[in-house]
Parts: sequence; structure tokens; C-alpha cells
Amino acid sequence: MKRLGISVSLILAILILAFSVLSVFGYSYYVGDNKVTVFKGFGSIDWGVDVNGGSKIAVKAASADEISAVADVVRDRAAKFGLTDHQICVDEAKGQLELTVPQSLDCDFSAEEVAGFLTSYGNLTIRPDGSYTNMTVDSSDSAAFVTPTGSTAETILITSDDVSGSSWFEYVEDKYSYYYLNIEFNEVGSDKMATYTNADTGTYYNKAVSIWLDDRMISNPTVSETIDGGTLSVSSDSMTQSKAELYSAVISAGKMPCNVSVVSVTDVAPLANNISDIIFIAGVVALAAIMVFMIFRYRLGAFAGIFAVLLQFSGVLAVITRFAGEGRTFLLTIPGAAALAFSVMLTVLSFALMGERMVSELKGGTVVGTAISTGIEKSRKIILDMSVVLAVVALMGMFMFGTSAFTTAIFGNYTLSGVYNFSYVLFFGAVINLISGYVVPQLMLRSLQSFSKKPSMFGGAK
Amino acid sequence: MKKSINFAKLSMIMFILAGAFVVAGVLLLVINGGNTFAPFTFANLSFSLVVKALVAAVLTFALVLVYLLIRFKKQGVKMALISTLGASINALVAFALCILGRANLCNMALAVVLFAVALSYVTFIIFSYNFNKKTSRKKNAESQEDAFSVATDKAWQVMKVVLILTTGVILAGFVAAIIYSAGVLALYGIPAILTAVFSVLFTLSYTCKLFADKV
Repeated sequence: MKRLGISVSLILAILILAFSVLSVFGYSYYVGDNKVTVFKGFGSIDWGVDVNGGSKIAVKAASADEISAVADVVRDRAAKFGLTDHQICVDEAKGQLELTVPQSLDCDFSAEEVAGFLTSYGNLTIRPDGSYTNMTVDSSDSAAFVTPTGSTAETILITSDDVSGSSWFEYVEDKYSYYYLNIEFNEVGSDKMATYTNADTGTYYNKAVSIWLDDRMISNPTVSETIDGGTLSVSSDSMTQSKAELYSAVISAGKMPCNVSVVSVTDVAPLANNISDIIFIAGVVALAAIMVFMIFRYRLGAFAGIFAVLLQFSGVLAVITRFAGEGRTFLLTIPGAAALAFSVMLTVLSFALMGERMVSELKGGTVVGTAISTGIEKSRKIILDMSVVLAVVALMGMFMFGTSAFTTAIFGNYTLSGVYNFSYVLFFGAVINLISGYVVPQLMLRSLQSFSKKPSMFGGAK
Repeated sequence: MKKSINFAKLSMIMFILAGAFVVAGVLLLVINGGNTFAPFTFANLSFSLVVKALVAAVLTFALVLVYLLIRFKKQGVKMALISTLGASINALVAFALCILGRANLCNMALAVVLFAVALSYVTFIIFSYNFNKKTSRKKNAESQEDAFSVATDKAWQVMKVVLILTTGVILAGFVAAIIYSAGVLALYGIPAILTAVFSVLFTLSYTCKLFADKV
């Protein structure tokens, strides 16, 4: 096996170290009062209900027989909103449903408001003008206009029955982002909108209309062109990404099969206090212990393992935080944190397979170069097998207990957050391990032998 | 000549232990009237979920089977069956150990169980891979036995490192939980360590038995 220069190790070490620092601490800067996050770190993670607590809303269906159908709509909305950690408990006898959502959602609505939207009746209406009875302030300090009045209350142009779906998009102009909600109409809805907004004959052309979700006005645009494409795009001053996502999720999942009323809203405590701190400290101590152990056992060769472990940890962390992406991070629960720990152990195991073989060859009198080559050769297939089998097992957990369209179609929309969380993190851990558990350590080991050829420097006898 | 372990006996002991843990766990649940179930997560535990878990196990088996068939040909069927069965037994034992440790079956317990399942698959692959490689080319029984013994030693050497580190990681969490007065989390430390040790030993013994039979 070809020996590599020591510069390969140095370059890899610098790159991995830089990535690890960015992945753990993140990077952000301020433009005026606005914080611009370039890379998200550990501190940005949105934690699940078990770690940071949540908000629980109990709702009662007007017709107890419909509670299962109500639960299906709530699950669908939660899935469309990407709420990977939530709990739904259905009491069929009472016709009641409880939904718990995490407290630490990176959303412009509070957990209580999110739970409220997800369990609301969810009837979308388009009405003339935009007259309202009350103005309140939501949890993002934006004005919320509620309860239509006058002509707005009397006339309904479009209802949820005329809507087939919804989505959202971002429009960037002069470095500022504007978020739009798309409302997609079915055939009947499209015809109605085309008639209402026709430039020559339409009653509402060049006039204000308002978009309502139940009792709440979400936009108050003026019709400036004929809407005949089957889609209406609306925005408002207070429309943010998370609001657009939530509205879109509620609208596209459709309205409830019957009326629902809120029974209670309560806070849910986490399993214990300071869990995120405990995870962080345990992680740091464990990483330090692994590094000390490796240095003790593999000496110079340990550096290949240490950087492999660092890359694995920061790589999986980057997947969890959605490192350079916009929006919310993955909702991490305790099972997810356990999967992160297991992913790191997988890399330790991969390196141990390589390292133990190398040490045993060295103790048998083999020269460093051959011992390293044998360690790399003999561990390659087994690392591949471990990673692929774990990825397959994790993939099944993600499909079966997640909210993918594939399993929803076959098994219904059922999320068991803990299993999904574990599987999601483990899947990426297994995939990343192919690089951090094999590619990186073998490159570094091949390069480190340029630094020293003494067997004792790689764990062999002195 | 090195004295070899009687894997048939060890495997039998581990199966009896697994059965004892599960039976004791179920009994404790029955005696407590299900009180160890926290409504936190397992309020969701319904018939449809149990069916889904079974379907997940079957589909996992099928997918692992496809991969192992490609990698190990005919031997893959046996390997997929044994690995999935082992993971399922380890999952049950992990649940039982949490119940016996008086820990609520919440997300923490789920983390312990899933950790055991993943560890079970990894242990199985390491052992079975070593045995396949070491014994498949040996023609006579004596050299097969020697190869088997070498394979056991090599695999055990690696798993020992992993077991020490896994226990260390769990202990780090355990100590951090105590420092932060999070007694609820610390409660899962002992079942987690026991589960990890059991998972590795159980998988080792029945994998060894499987290959010892072949030898």
C-alpha cells in the first residue's frame, strides 16, 4: 500500500479541526441588530419534549366517532410541518385528543400557538375586504387580526372545499427575504377565483380580499391581476418562514371532519432539568476518555483515530443542526442523543478493528508499513458491512416510524418520535462512518508512518 | 493448546438469562399493574403500533437478508435470521432490565433498547465475519477448530475495547446526571450498562455456537 507524506495528515487534521469547531460552536455575525447565522452549532439545536418540555393541548371532537379522523388530520399537519417530535394520545371513549409539541421550537409562534394551529378546525376562507373585530399580538410580537366583521363576515368567496393544497416559497430582493404562501385551488376553486378576479367582469378585481384561517386573518392583499392559474400567492408584513410553513401545513392537510373545541392547554415538564447540559458534558468527557484511551493503546497511530472520531462527531452534529441550512434544526430527543453516542462508538469500533489488527501484527514482528497495510486491508469489508447493515436497519426505523409519504401511503401516518429520532441520527452516523471510520484513518495511518517507523510508536513492543 | 470455551453451554446460559429477565420484567409489570409505564411516550402504545413494530422487524430482516445474501451468498440467510432474532431478543431484555431497574418506560428506556439493538447487529457482524473468513477455507476439522479459536480471540479483543468504552460513555452520562441532580436519568445508567454487556455477551455466545456447530 502506497505510503503518503506527513502533509496529508496535517492537512486532514487542520480541515477536521476547523470543521469540528464550526460544527460545535457555529458561526454567526450581526448586521445592525439582526443576527445572521452562517453555520449552526450545538447551541442552536431544537430539543424534543423529553429534553426541554413541551406544551400539551387537549381538544374534544364535536362528534366522538370522528376522533380517529381528527387524529389523522393532526398527524398529517404535524408531518407536513416537519414536527418530528410530537405525541398524540387519543381517548376514543371521550372523543378527546391530546397533542404535545416541544417547547424549544425555533418558530415565530410559541409551542402553545403551534399546538393550537395543528388542532384547529383549519377552515381556509377567502372573503372580501378585511374587516376584523379584534387586534391582538401573537408571540412573535406581530399584530394578529381576528374575527371577521361586516361584509367580510357576511360573504365567503372561497372555502377549504375549493382548495387542493398549499406550499410556501421565499423571494429574495436586495438581500431581504419575503415569504409567500401559495394556495392551490381545485377545479371548482380555480373557476371561482378566475371569475371573481377577471380584469373585465370580476367583482373583486383591483379590490382588497382577505385570507382567513378559521378566525384569524393571515393576509389582506389587493387583487392586481386575474387569478386564473389555479394558484394564489399571498404574503403579509408579519409572514415569516415558520409562519408560512405552519399555515401551509394546516391548509394542505385540509380542515377537520368535524368541529373541535379546546379542553385545556398545559405545560409538560421535561424528564429532568438541564438534560441538554448533561448531554454536552457527558459527550465532552466521553470524547476525552476515548482520546486518552486511544493514545495509551495506539500511541502515534491514535491521532488517526482521534481525528476520525472528531470528524464523526462533528459530521453527525452537522446533520442534526442542519449546519449550513436555513430554518429549524432536527428536533433532538434523548434517543437521538443516544444514537449520536452510538455513531461515535461505531467509528471507535471501526478504528479499533484497524488498530487491533495493526498492533497484533506489530507484536508478531511485522514492520510498521506492512502492519498498517494489513490493518487497513483486513478491516475494510467489515467496516463496510457494519455501516451498511446499520444504515439499512436505521432506514427501516425511519420509514416505519417517521412521516415519509411512502409509509404514510401504506401504513397510515404514525410517528413514534423516539424510534424515528434514533433511526435518523443512526442512519447518517452509519453513512458518515464510511468516511470517518475508514477513509480518514487509513489516509492518516499511511501518512503517519512517514513520521516514524518504530513499532513502539504504533502500539507495538519496544 | 488453548482451552476453548464451551459455546453451547454459554449460549444456553445466556438464553436462560434472557428468558429469566423477560419473565421477571413482565411479572413486575403485571404486579405493578402497568405502573412503570409513563404516559409520556407509551400512551401511544396501541395494537397498530405493535403490528407496525412487527412489520418493521420483518422488513428489516428482509433488507438485511438481501444485503447479506449479496455479501455472503447462501450463508447470508442464516446470518440475517440470526442477527434479527438476536436483536429482537436483546430489545426484549433491554426493556425487561429497565423495568427491573424500576425505570419508567419513557424515551430514555427507548434509547437504551435501541442502543442494544444497534450494538447487537454490530457485534454479530464482527463475530460472524471473522468466523466466516477464518473457517471457510480450512478443510480438516483440527485446523478449522484452531481457526475458530483465533477468530474468537480476535473478535473478542475488539469487542472488549468497545465494551470498555461504551461502559465509559454511559458512566460519563451517569455521573453528569448525578452532578446535575437529574436522578431520573441516572436511574437508566445501570440498566444501560447491563444491557450493553448482555447484548455483547449474548450475541457473542449464540454467534459462536452457530459457527461452533458448523465447525
